[in-house]
Amino acid sequence: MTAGKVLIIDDEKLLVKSTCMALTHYGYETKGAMNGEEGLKAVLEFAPDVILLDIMMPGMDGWQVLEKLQQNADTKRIPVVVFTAREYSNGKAMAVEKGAVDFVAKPFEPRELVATLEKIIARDKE
Amino acid sequence: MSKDYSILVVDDSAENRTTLIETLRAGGFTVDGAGNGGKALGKCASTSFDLFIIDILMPGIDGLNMLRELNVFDNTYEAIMMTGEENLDGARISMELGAFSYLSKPIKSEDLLAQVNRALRMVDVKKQRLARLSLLEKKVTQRSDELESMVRLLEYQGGQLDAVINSMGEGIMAVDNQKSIVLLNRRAEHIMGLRFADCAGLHIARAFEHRTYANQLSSLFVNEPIPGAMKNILSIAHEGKRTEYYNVNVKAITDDKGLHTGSMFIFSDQTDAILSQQMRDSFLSIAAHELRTPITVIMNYLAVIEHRDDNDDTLKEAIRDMQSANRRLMHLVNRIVTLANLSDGNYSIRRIATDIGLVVASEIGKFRPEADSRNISIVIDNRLKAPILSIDPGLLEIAVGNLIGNAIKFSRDGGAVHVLLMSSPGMKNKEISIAVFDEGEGISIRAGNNIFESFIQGENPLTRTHEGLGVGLYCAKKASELLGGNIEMFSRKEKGSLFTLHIPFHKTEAV
Repeated sequence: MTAGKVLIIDDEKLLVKSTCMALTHYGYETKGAMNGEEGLKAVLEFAPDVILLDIMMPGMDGWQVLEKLQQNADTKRIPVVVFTAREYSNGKAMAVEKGAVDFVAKPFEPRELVATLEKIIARDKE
Repeated sequence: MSKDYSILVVDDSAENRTTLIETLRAGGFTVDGAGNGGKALGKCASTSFDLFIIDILMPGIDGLNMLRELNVFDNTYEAIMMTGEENLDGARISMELGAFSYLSKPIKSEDLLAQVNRALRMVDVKKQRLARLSLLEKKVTQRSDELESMVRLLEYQGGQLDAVINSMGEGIMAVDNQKSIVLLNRRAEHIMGLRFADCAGLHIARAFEHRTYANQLSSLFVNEPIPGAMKNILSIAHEGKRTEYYNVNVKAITDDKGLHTGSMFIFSDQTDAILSQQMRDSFLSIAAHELRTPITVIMNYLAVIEHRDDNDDTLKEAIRDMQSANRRLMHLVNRIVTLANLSDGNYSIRRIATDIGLVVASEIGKFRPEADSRNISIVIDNRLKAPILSIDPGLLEIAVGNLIGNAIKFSRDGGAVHVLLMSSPGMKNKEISIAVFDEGEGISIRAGNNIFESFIQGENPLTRTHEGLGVGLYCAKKASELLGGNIEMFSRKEKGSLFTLHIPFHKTEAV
């Protein structure tokens, strides 16, 4: 029994790899995707409980991925957490407006990320 | 009668002439004689006579012709004519030509002297009148010379003034009470992309209609800064040129009696300074963004290693220290990213219903661990009547968070930080204020002037006694400006500092 299935979509290879490894230590099942297209494919195959999505990516950016996810009834209900650049900013308001449930500012610590994930998964189960 | 008068007797009869001359000399006058008009006029060239006594009937130039030549109307001398009883016509004509009087022959000496004395009195009057006239004329000439030189001076000064105003590095625009343009120097013409000749006397709204900077300029006029725009800075982008930035100083123009007669705008070029600041900010921003991923990667791997079962004490300690060092790096990066976001002028303000007290409490919460570790108490006193406002919560967090962080940083261990939230009581200029007071080291007034600048910490920009970038108050100030408010500082060395964040709001913004 895992704590949950998490898909990480980010073009930074080391970030994806290290985040997967850290979340694994906290008991999560993880999968990484290096760009938008790969991420959308992985959503269907992996069926994650939560998607961690970077905004600034070459090609299809995070907002476009989010839009695609919103268009599909199956993927629409999967909660998406976006990575934003700013600690202080209106990033959260914008993320929520576009359909994400929360945001995590980079740089982040695995405990912060885990706290956010736990909150979302617990809410999803209710 | 004075004896200084000189008289010329003109008569072709030598006998008559001698009789007359002797009679007059006996009367005390200087007298000369001439036998005809030609000789008489010749004498006039060398001697100035006061009176002529002329016989009308003479050979050659006769009495009447001589009288014509003398032109007594325009001169101070007079002429008395002598006629025979048979020549009344000659007498009449001579009077018309300006003769003082005429005497009929034979002439009695008492009649002659009486007429001569009367004529000389007229000569005196004419001389006095002439003297007064010439004095007046002199005065008029003098005054008109003065006026002429004043006009020349004014023209010169006006020209000089134009030259001075046009040579100034600052742009100058003056408007009258009706906001009509009365002056635009050459630099201002260049800045506004407008010729004075085309806008002289026009209302500024008309003159700058359709110009991209029109709104900025009118906001300066009413002294209501546009939220998010740089204060007192006018940015102008002329087609095909880089954006120029001008600091605009608005001054009231008052006359000698102190009455307001218009306003003056002084534009000083800040383009280089602002562009270099933008370059600095964008360099920092890029550097900070690039650091975000490596820091996160290190944090992730430290967490992975931390959870291994076979770590010895040395490794555990090393991991904790690395995490602590990395957290400082994270904090630093976040500060720089915040600074860059606030400075680049592209911050998009989003107003949402925000519970002011909750934001302040949450910001205090972030600093609790640091405050507790140094035994600093944080006391909050919330007296807000309408605690929910429609404002940008991110900006409020930045402003409040940095003020509280600053207060804790500069507090002594075991000290206290007070946070007071108030609504202004009046209906006008409604605002809420958040005051943060510490009992720390304080700052002198002089140094207080630039503590809101970025990268300056305390008194001396080169000595940093506290860790950090010195951008906290700068960020707080920037955020307060984007909120449409400001921050006031009151501080005393060794006593502490009071920072008050003022946020104005309209009644409609209160939810």
